[in-house]
Amino acid sequence: MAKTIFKRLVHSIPILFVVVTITFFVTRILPSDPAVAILGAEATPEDLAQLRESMGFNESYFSQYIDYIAGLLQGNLGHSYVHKQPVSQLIANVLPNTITLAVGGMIIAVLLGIPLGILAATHRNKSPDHAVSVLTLCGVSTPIFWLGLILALIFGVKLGWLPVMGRGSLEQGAWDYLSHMILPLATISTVPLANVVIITRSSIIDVVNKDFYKTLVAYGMPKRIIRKHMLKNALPAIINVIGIQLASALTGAILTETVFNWPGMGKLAADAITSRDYTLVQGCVLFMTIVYVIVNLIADIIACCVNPQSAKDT
Amino acid sequence: MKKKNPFMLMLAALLCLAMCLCACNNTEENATGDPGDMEQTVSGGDIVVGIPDSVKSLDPMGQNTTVYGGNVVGQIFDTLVANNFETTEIIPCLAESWDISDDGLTYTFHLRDDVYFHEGQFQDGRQMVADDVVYSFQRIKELFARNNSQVDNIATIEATDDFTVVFTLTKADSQTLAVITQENFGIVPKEEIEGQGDGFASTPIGTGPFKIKELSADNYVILEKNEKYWGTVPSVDTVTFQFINDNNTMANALRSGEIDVAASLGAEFISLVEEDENLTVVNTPMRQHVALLHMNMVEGPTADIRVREAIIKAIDIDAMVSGIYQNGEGTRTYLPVPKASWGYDESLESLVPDYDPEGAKALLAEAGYEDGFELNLYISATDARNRMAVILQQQLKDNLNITVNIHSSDWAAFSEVVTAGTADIYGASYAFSESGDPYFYLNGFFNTNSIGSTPNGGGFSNGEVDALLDESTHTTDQDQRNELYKQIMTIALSQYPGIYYANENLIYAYHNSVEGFRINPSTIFRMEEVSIAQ
Repeated sequence: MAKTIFKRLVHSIPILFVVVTITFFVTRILPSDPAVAILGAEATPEDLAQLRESMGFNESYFSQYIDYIAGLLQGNLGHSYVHKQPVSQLIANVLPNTITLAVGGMIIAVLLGIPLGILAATHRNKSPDHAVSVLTLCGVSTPIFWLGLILALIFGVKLGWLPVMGRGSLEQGAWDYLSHMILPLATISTVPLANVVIITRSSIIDVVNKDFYKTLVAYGMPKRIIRKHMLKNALPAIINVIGIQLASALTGAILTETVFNWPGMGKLAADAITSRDYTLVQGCVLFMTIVYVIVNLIADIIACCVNPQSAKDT
Repeated sequence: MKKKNPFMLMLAALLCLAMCLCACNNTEENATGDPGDMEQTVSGGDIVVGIPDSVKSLDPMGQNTTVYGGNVVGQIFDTLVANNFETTEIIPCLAESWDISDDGLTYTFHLRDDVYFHEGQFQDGRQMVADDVVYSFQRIKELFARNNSQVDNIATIEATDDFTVVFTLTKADSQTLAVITQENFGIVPKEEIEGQGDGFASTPIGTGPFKIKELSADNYVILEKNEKYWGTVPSVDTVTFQFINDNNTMANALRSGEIDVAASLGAEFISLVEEDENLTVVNTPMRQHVALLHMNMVEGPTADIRVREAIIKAIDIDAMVSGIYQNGEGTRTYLPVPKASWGYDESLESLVPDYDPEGAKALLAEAGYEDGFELNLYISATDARNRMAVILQQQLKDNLNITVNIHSSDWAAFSEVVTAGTADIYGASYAFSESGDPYFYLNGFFNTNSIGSTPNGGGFSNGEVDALLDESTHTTDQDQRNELYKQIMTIALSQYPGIYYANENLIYAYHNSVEGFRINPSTIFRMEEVSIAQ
């Protein structure tokens, strides 16, 4: 077990390195000049040249890259020249907001998704299964940007029940805090929810078709024990999907946060891209990669614990 | 997934339909909104203003200052002189008066003696004196990245006593006062800048009508009124500037009552917001803005003046403008200065030829291109520019058999081609931030020195125009300068450099409970004049 974890950790180092390198060069190859982004279209050529010089954009990409890697190895994500603050500080400021959104969305997805998946699997080809299938189909194929806008329009503008932007504060009461969260959570949880339902349904059907399960049923085991074996064997696949979905919820956060003006990582990254804040873009991408790698690793470990058999498959 | 039951699919379709109907069928509820929510925003004189930019730094010298970010900074800091809100004429601010020497080289500013800084970590709200002006301008000279020539031209800044500051210029420059009205030139206290370091960007200390309460990066900034302000003390207790980059979110937040003012509104929402009787929309061409098409005057077929004149005559500009701005968010103009500028003289509009496709054909034939030719049009990819390109393409094809190849890209890629002077024709728009002074536009479009920047990407060069522009910088009298700018425009337009077809409007909206919110042509607003009904 410890060996597997160690192996996975070692494997993630080259992944991170490749991601850092690609992000670094892609941001610089893009035909976009941070000096123009900062000074605007009306700036004169001399003004631009002076700014580039003062910000070190004139150095070769390679030497900028070496500097950046050297900083990273010392745990320094760099300094944002737009915000004039350390990148790690900026990320730390908004990270709790994104975690609230992503983890909250996942909790909803799991709490609703697993029961719905079981319901569909145990009523295979009957109306509950059809209804769940249609809903998941809608969930998977709805663009979340569109969904967010429609929800805001219905519940915020037309009905006036819920706020459509920003994050509430606990100082103004629990309702203020919660009400700001409902629409973003509903939006961000849609795709993970649909995926959890699909995978739960299919892995349970998978288990139900296995010989050991048929044997248990044939022996007339109590329903409680049958259900335990069914879940135990289906869970590793579900947990893996939850890991991947949590990571994709972080990506979905970019759109959800933009629609609901939610101050999180996604909005920070999107703003950094539009203002050509290279170090901040790099920092955000690197950070999201690390989260992705860690979350998947944790998912693997939990899957191993639940059913050690599955460790052999990976 | 497995085979689908057609009945269930129909059910799903019905569900979707029901959702849409829900969305469109609830106008009555909308008119009342949620009373609890509304009261929360208006009580206690707090006002929430949605602005489309994120404010990253509140340091006046923060180099990311955007139009709306600049407005936030402008509430916290004062400048030596300011612009009259309506007319953009220079008026006193921290300097109650000033003298300019006859040779235009020495500016003596007499400061107010009743100005105090906000209380901060490193000073307790002390009086602002001449040394602060000297310190601020030295810092500006060190850090300012725009208008280098104008800032560099200020050779020395000296405090002759506590309330007198003398600027010495290297050469006379009538734009100096206009340049220092920008919010970047706000006066800052040395102790706070040096004591706080980078922290000054989030807890700034100035002398303005509002002081900082809280900045939440990429989210909002809350300002509270400065009771000790030397000018009009604000009516509202606090102003929250909420940063909303997305047009949809801005309109939704205004309609749901979460913000009281949308300082910028997407054109597609004008009619929607107008329908709501609780909201007021302002859609006005009074904004410093010029949208233009420039032709290459150095190489290619358009180097021939007859070809340029023919192209201008072949464009039905009125039809083009109404096609581009379908929600009425743009207004037809004629001259290379914004309609709101004091340099815009309607008597010069006749210099722009009328739509005359037959005359255009004859001119083109005279120039030897009766069968037409190909033109490469470069634009930066905004919706308005893309629509303009397609309309132009069709009109030139129909009227002159000119084939226009559209190259639409982001600003940086566009700028590379245009500054190199290789674009046959290009479309762009400009909003110089320095008040409505026509100089910045005419200098940008027509000065030989501006070749190599996008405003003069067509390569316009005329000795007489250069001389007149130079003369205008030595003239401080506005009427005389206006006369010079009229001459410049007359000469320039006779060369048919392109068309200055529209002024994109200023569009903003607010709840009817808000009083006194106005945005001026330079996209500046002053929150101390705003009040909110309780």
